[in-house]
Amino acid sequence: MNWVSPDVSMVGSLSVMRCFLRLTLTRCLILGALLWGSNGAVAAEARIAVAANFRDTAEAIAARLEAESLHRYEVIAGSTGKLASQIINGAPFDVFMAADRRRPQALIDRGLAVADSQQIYAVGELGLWWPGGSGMPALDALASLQPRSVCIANPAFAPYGEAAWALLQSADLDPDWLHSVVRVDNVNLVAGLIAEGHTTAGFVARSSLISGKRQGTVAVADGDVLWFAEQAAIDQAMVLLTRAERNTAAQHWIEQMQAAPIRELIQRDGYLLPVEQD
Amino acid sequence: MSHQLIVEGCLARDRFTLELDLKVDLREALGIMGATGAGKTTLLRVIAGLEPKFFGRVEFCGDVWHDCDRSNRVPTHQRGLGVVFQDGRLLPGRTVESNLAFALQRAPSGDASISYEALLQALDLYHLLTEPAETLSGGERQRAALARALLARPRLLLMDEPLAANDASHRQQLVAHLSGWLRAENIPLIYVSHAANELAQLTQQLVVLEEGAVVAQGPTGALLNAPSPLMKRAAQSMTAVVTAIDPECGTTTLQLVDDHLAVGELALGERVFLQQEAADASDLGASLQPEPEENQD
Amino acid sequence: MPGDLQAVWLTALLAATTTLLLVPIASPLAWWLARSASPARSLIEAVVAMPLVLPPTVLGFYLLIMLNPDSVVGGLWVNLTGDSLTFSFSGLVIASIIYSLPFMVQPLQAAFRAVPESVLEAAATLGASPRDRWLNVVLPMAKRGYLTGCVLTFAHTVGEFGVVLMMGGNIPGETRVLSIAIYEHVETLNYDAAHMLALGLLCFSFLSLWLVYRYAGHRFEVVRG
Repeated sequence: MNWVSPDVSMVGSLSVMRCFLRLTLTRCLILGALLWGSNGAVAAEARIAVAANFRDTAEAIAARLEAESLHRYEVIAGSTGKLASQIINGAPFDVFMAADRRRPQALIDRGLAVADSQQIYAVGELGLWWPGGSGMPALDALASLQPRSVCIANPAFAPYGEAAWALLQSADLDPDWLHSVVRVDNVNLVAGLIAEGHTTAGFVARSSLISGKRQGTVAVADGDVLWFAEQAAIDQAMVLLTRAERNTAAQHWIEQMQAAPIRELIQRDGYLLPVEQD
Repeated sequence: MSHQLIVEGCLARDRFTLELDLKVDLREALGIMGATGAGKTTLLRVIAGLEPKFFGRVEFCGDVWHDCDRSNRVPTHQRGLGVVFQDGRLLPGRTVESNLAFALQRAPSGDASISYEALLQALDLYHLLTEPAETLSGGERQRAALARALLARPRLLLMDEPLAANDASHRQQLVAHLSGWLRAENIPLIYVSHAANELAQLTQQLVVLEEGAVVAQGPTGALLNAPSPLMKRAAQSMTAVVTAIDPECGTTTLQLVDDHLAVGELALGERVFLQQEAADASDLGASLQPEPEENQD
Repeated sequence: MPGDLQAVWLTALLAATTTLLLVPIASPLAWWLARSASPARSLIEAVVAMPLVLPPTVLGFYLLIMLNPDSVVGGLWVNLTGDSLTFSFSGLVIASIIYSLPFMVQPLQAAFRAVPESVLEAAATLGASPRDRWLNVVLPMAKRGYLTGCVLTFAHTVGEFGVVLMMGGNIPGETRVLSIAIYEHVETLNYDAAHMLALGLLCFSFLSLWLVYRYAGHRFEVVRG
């Protein structure tokens, strides 16, 4: 005696969809009404997706901008490649601050970012940190370590990791050894792992060490880091995403990147400033 | 046309195929008799609409209840039935009162001449109202089920051995009450039982089933008073010889003579203990008849 | 700290929404599975049970593909609401419904199977239509199944991680649920905060399971002499 048809789950998920459409539509209608009824100078909200190494700096900038204006900012950090992938899959970000040029360009090519908004906001420095090594760290000396004691950000989606990988390949290291080097999610993690003693040496960003020192979790002796400022300068580019073209908070953020106090902040956190903007 | 019940068709079962061609006028209550496994319960289920695989036709008072064409069928809950199942089938997780309320809430509107209190009184259910259905004894369950079926104010009452779990004294009272109510409410009744005295008191016509087919049909009195091998099998009565008489205790000892009893499934060669249900030996006496001479099998 | 409170609230909201929506979705499905003799039944049972064995990243991956703005479903959503379904709370609810489906369906299916056909037949003879039988006979008998299903669904959704990671991102107030927050704290070497959240979740999971076993695992039987 079956008195229920088996098509029920289809009906069920349709009704779920309908329910959510209704909820979100209502929210959108209310929000839309609010925004429409006000003039353009009213405060807005923007979500800033930043490369992991820039997280602390971005949060400091956000705090400053929020104090000076009525805008609200949300900083979401992650490795550059992951964030780009999320944006391609519809993540609701407004500004993308990458750790390379390639991803922002890729987004522009896909029509997800505004072409003339692209600018370099900082130039990062990569360094090989090897505390407790004898003398200044050297690339070829890494071969004496177990590959599992050497750590880089994952070159698949982290620009600092890509740069580190390129450097490792330029040294005369065994391919099998290279193969077994530890890759972690983002460049910030590398500094943390070395500081905690989970790994012996690794390729870090200058900004990670500075922020770590500020937090008190990282203690670095200058002689323990080999910097690669010329060989591996990391141009970090940012773009405005097309969904936020009319977002005043997002626009404000982008403009402020050129302002002197913000540039000072960036520099203080361990980045080199881009030469000039044209 | 009115009060006529037609059941025509067949239904395949494990041990037999029920084949029916039954037309009865239910202005007179109908009894159904037969050995265990003859198909009495199945017939009742077909009439109640609980056997969707029945291939045939069921009509009551001109309404087609069941047809080979599925779209013509009237589902069970729309037939206005009152059914008392053999096992009572009270709704679990509810009190007796809640079970009765369930029936009352779905009964057709109108005044009933059997009042709620009278029913509870007659069936001795007052002290059980707040008891959970699962805690009732067999007899109590059947009485509650009987009350529930009557409270549904049915167009047709179907009863499947509704008093079997009650003891003899209760049974007699219940039969008396039941026949009074049926007359007062004028409810058509179909009553399945082994007990000849119940059938004699409650029904006017009788149908005897054997292995899924009707083998006898006629007025109750006539059929019950004409003992034949067929009726014996149907009534599950046994031949016995008087072997001892004790005037002081007022008892008689009987010895069964090469007869057998058909009950539910047991294992071959199993020894079972038969319990005599009658509280009073004189109760059994009423069903005793001298063995007729023409019974030569 | 306030970020963590927000994560707790968001997680509770997600779990509650999922549980409430799953009750009407899973009930007819569980009923059909409990009573059907159709050969399709074992197929449907397998599909329903898949989230039990499937790696959450697989589910998250396929959801990402199916719900992103380029897809049919996701595109429709964008047209209607202007927002993407991926990396949104609504998207997480859809994911959680699929991910926690067996945790609601299976207890309900067991509860429904325990309703004897004989009782339903009796109710029918008393004039109860199929809907009436469902509401007044089946549902009261299936109360424990619903309790178990709701508690398990809620607790399971609270623990969701792989699926959220794949298609939720880490957006505060929208998709940054407790499990993601813990992950983030570990990532940033913020072990104290990670401990607090993780311990809290552990206690919660234990309490919910205890609740299920205490109240829905046993039948209280009153034996009368």
